[in-house]
Amino acid sequence: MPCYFAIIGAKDNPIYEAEFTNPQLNQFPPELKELNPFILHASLDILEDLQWQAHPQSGASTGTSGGFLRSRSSANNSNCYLGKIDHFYGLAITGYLSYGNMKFVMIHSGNTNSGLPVTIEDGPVKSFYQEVHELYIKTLMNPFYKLNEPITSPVFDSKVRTLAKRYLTK
Amino acid sequence: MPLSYERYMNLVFHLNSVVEPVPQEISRKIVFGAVSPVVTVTSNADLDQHVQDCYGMDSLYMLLRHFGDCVSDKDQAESDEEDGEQSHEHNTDQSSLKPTSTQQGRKRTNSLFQRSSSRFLRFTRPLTDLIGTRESHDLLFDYHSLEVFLQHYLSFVEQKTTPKTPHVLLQHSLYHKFFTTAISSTTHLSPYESFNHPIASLLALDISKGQNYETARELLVTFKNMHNHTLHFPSFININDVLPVFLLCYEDNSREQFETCNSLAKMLKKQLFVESILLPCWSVDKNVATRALNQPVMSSLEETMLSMMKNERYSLPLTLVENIYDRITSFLDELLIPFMKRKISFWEETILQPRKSIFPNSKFFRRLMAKNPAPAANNDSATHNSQGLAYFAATSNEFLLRKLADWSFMLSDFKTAYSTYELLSRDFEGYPEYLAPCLEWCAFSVLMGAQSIVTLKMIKSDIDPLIVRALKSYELSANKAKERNAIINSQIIAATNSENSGKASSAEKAHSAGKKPVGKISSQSATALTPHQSAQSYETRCMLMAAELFLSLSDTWTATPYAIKYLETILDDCTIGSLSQIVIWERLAYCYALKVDPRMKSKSSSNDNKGTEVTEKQVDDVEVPNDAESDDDLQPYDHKLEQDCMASMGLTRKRKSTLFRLIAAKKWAKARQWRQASWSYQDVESMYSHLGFAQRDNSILQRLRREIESHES
Amino acid sequence: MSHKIINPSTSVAQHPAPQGYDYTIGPQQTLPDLPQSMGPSSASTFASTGISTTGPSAASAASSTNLASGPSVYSSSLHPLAHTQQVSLAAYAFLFQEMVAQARNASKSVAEIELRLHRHGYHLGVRLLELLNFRSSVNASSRSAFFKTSTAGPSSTSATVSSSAPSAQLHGYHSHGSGDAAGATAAAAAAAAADDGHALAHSISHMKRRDLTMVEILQFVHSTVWTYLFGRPSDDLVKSSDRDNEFMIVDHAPLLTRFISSTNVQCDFFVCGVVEGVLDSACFPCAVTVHSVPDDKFPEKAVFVVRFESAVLEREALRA
Repeated sequence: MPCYFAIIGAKDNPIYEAEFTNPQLNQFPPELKELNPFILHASLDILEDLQWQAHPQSGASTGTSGGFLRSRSSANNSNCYLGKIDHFYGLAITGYLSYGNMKFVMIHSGNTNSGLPVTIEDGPVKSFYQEVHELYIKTLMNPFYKLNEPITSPVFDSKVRTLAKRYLTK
Repeated sequence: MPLSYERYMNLVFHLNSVVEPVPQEISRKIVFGAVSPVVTVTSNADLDQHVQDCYGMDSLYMLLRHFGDCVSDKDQAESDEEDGEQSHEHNTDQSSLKPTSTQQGRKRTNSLFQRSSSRFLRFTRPLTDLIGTRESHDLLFDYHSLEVFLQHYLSFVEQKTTPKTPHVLLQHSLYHKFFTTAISSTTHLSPYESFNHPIASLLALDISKGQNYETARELLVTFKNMHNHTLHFPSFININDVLPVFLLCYEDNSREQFETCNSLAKMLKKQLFVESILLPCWSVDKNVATRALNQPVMSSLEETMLSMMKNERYSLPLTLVENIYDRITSFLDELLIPFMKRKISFWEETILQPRKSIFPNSKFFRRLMAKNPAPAANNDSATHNSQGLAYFAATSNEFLLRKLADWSFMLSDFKTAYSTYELLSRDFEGYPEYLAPCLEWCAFSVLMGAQSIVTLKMIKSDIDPLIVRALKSYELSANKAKERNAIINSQIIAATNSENSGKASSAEKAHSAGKKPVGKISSQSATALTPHQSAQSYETRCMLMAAELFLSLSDTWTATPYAIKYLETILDDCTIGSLSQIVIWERLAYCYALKVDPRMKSKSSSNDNKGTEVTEKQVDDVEVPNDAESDDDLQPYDHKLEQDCMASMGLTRKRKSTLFRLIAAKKWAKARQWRQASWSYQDVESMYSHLGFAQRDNSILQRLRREIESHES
Repeated sequence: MSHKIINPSTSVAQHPAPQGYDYTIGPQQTLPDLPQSMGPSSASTFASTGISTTGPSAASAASSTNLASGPSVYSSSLHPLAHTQQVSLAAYAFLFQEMVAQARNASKSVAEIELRLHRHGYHLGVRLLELLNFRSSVNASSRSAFFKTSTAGPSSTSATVSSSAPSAQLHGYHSHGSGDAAGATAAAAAAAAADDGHALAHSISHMKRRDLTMVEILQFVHSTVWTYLFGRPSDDLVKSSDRDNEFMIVDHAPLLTRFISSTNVQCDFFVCGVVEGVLDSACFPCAVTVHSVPDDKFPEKAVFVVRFESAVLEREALRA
């Protein structure tokens, strides 16, 4: 399942983006590929709504979507991982917030052939986000890195992709 | 004075009003207009000839049809002088003249929901004509012709405007045009609801041509015996429920003819018990001020298309326009509405009251009653037509109740309408064709009637389930129709040769896949397919109207998700053309833009120009570092994070809205509708202007910009 | 301080390798360093090359040796015990003195000195918010696991993360400045584990909650941040009785300015910067000022006044 992952800064600017695809089997169709950043951008509305809800995972008033498809693991008190926050025509969008309110968001696409909605396995996705979060903090520990600026480090990139491989591919 | 309903609906002819806000409660007005009482116009050859000679229109009906819609607005009489020239040349400085000229007009009935009676009317051709064309198109709307209509309308808009024309209101107007056309694009007489059934019939006489009592009597007799003489006269129309009124046309400045009219009117009332309206229709003076007439908002798609193709606008003398409006208003107030009220109270007393006493509001009784006698009674009153469909005859209690509800709805008595629909929905359990519209209008009467007090709970537990159930019933009836079609088709297959049957089944197959190639359908399957399609088109209408009415509620935060839900369902499941789809995408963008927490509303106005502010800030930011670099950060707090408005975070859906608009822009460009594409692009641009990813050279936004630039400007 | 002169080490220019994210181009496709096929077949590929797929450290270590020539921020651990916990007060004071002196030399006015200090603190605060919260998420169980798994290894790479940061190493002060033996070994062990690129997040089952209200986030500053910086929580956290958006953090004896006698320049503006950095990046925009309020008992008592922007109050009212 191809994924599109981005870390979004305070001004809606992506500071990191990556596509996790497999060149042979599952790619985003070109039509969707160019829309991806815009779809994520649109989901920020809902992410921001959840951001300030005391219990974002049980929140019923999360707009058109969300709400359902949340697994039980979200019953705990944590509010960093928000689970599935939005959907857009068969794509599922998950979100995660760092303590500095960096927005980690990802589009999950199902198999392009089967028109079934994507199911999100909260466990691995959450682990992925948490580890990327850790990598992000490490980046931030670099005194020369300025908040909200693009993360251009190839090490970061390769580590994120390794994580994606471990957690997101099946 | 706010923009009037008709002016708004014909906005492309009134380009000097494009910067005004969307008229209040416009969607409710449209719904109201769509179900307004239907008045048929029966004329005769002499009279039509006279009309043609004087005003260049084919018939009296063609003349009167321009005066339907919101009668009390008297819009066409009021339009100012520049407006006549407006159609030919439009310069922007006219907007400055407009307010002064409309100021003196009479007060408009903007609060049409103050429990006042309906002031909307629709004129149609004579009933016999309607019946004659009935069987051929059994659809509420044909998405194909809707598409053609949109295509024409869009190219018309493109002719009239430039990319720089303020487009916000025009886009709304375009959607409402589409909406109007989709929900009432036909004069089709449905057996399942009575909105399109005529309530009154104007029988016109031309006094100046010497037509007299005999002609009138003959007309009335023909009218009253219509059901005996007309082929295929539908059993669900009762001619006795139609109010005949004579329209006596005479010469304006002929005292003599006026006298004749008066005495004739008296005679008609005494001997035939029919009221008359006197209309000074003909005037000798040719040098009077004229008015260009708008196309009526609520007219059938064919007629709209026809006049659009002809591309001509009729003008009438101002005095005549005013006279017609005066007569119509008095006809409405003194004849039509009292007639409807009389009928309603009669039905209430004879049908509703006895039923209410038999079926007291206790569950026990209802269950008891539902078990035995009710179905039997239903079977009695249902009649069957040639295709084996169960119809309730016009005189059956069920249909009369339905009529009672519909008419109450028309007269804005939503409370009666609601309770009657609800009562009826129990009777119709076994008839999905009847049940679906009944539930649908049950929901609509809540939405229309309780506009300000609709709460989330009501929507959740009342209105939405009703609509969902209505949709299910539509689906059920569509399936039923499908099954019937299968049977009919198999009969056709048996009867005709294999080639033909192959065609029919392939069309059927393609249809079930959701895409029906219109051209391919053979004549046999065309008739066989319609009931199924018909249900689908009603389903689409139901969702469109529900979405629009949800949007008109005051608490947009709670209501918009429902509107979005239905619009998305239409996009997913319904067969509509590509242009219609784009229009709906645009509407979705608007829905999301409306989704603002009510507590944020006061702020949202100040935030509206946030997009531009941000860009300005960005410009500053670019400049600041250069200064700062040189004299080493004198700027206080330049290291602080910039934040958007904290409080409104997450309480709007602006970005969502922009995404949908972007998609619409993309689709407009694909459909080669460059004017619309550039307008949508303009809306999108400011939101994305400060975002790096959107400015990438290969991003969709930049590609769109280049495409649009190459076609526009 | 001099980050405007030195090119960021994270920039593409210094790493010609094309794998890094370039915001002008957009996302890179595919997963580099990976076989083209996915799923079970990939596992077998890994197995055949002798690298265990279950050992993430091996894969990531391999990739990091490919890409980074030396130790990078990514090879250090974020674990609280990965680095020396304490710094001698002398070194601490010396560094701070240098910072103040630098600010003084470069500035024309008192306000500018304060602004410079504020800015240094701000950058620290922004980082502390993420780091300290993350560390709090590393719960006790994972901490013990951390000790068990750690083995002896090269300790030369330790403390690369924060040493380059001008201020990130201002750890808590203890009267016996030099670390005890146990602490030293723990740090070495931690550094060894960190060198493996061991991901802490892997062992975290529940991340700490994000703080959503003014009181919550202030308590975080009052306890966690203060303890990290000065070895103890602040002495008091008070809400202003006059204004809804005003809070005060009271420190009876600010550690940083202990050796600074002049009151011309408020050197505690550095701490203001830290607090403001924490609060701003947590989406509680505010302005923090410091006032010295000497009383009989505490002649050096300082009060940090936090004034939140009205939007924060509004949000809290809306979300209540």
